[in-house]
Order: sequence, then structure tokens, then C-alpha cells
Amino acid sequence: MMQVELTFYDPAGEIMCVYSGQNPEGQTEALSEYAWVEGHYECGTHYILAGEPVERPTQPTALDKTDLVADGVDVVVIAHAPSNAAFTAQNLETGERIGGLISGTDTFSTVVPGMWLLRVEKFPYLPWEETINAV
Amino acid sequence: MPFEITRPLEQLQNEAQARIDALAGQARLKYISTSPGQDATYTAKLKDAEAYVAAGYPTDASAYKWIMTEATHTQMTPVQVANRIIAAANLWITVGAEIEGARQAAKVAIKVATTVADIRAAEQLFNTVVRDL
Repeated sequence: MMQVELTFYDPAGEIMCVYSGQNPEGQTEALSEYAWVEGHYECGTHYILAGEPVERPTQPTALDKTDLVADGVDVVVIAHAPSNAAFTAQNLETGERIGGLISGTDTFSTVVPGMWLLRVEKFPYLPWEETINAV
Repeated sequence: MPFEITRPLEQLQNEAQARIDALAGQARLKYISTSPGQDATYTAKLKDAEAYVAAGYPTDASAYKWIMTEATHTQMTPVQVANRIIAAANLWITVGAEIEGARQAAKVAIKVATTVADIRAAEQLFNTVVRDL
């Protein structure tokens, strides 16, 4: 029997799982809600577009600065975020977190000093992360 | 929609004052040891050194147990040991007082602050003072 690798993906092209084995028919039946392509592709690097595996693009998201005064007035500008992306800001010391949807340009401010991890996620883009220091 | 982390001013004041106390503690640790019994040891050594100096640095230092024992173990003279202990104590008095003064000033400034910017300014001033010690 030949070893077969199949990559299963959802209607958006997001890779759900990869099968590697000698019974592909059983797998395609068990995962019938997903389409598949031959080969092994990781969800962290690829997605499926029109039945073809392609690399996930990097985001154009960018910050205007990575240092912030923690006074609730000074803001970090987050620009070029994909439309309706998921935004989170998490304090790396306390775990406190804030989040919501972001499109294009928005701002982040805090009255809590510390290192904050800003993260923007929007499929099929790769996640975007930046750490800022609020003092 | 701006993403904002906010707090009531009173909470920020309490958090900032706690940070001031913690940082003051860290600053003190550059000059003192907090291992068990060390404080009592320093106090006893200083008392011994001051008595030794007040007695005019007697050649026979056997009556000054802390001075004599440390001199024996460090290959220093009793005079050197006594002077070193007093110099260290004087340094601590200077630095410790500076830290405490800055700590009290920062906590008062934070307590009367009416804006977050006032709190941050007080914290940053304190941070600058202790960093430069």
C-alpha cells in the first residue's frame, strides 16, 4: 500500500488537518464536510485558494511606535489592519486583556504600565504581533 | 473604536504606590543584605566599630569581638575593619535616606494627583532618582 498525504480544508480555505496513511478513502469519508488536496500543508503557513495550496500572506498592519506613556492619553496608532480583523492587547505581566474588531486604523491606550502584546488576526493573513512598552 | 485600558484614579494611585514601595525595596537591596540575622549582625558590628574608634583604635582589639574576629579572618588590621564598617554604614545612611526621602515624596505626589499623567510623572521622577543612586 502506498503512503498518501491529504490536507483537509474548510470552505474558507483554512487547513483543518492533515492525513498521512494508507487509507485515504476512509479519511475522506470521515471528514466529508471538508474538501481536500493531495500533499501535506501546514495551517500556520498555507491555505487553500481555488483548490490550490498557497502561502498565507503577511499583514500590512503596522504601528507608529512601540513606546507609550501609560497615562490614558498617549496612544499607539495601529494602521493598515485588515477589515474586520480580531484585535487583542494583552498585558504580559498580569494577563489582562482587551479585544474587539479592527479595520484599517485604530488606537490603543492604557493607564496600566508594562509590556503589552498587540495581536491582529484575520484569515488568510498570518497573525501579526508587536510588543509595546507602556511606562 | 479606540481600545483603552482604563482604571479608576484611586486604583491607579494604589497600584503606583505599591510599585514605589517595591522599587524602593529593590534599590535598598543594592546596599544592604536581607538574609536572616544580617541586620542584627550589621548593628552589632557597627556598635563594636564605633566603640573601637571612640577608644582611640587600641592596639589590643581583643575586647572588640566583631572587629577582632573579622580582622583575623580577612587578614586586615582592626583599624581597617573598623573604618570599613563605619564607611559602609555612612554610605547606607546617605543612600537609605535618599531612597526614603524620594519614596515619601513620590507617595505624597501620587496621593494628591488628580490625573494619570501626574501619577506617571511622580513615578518616573522616583525611578530616575533611585536609578541614579
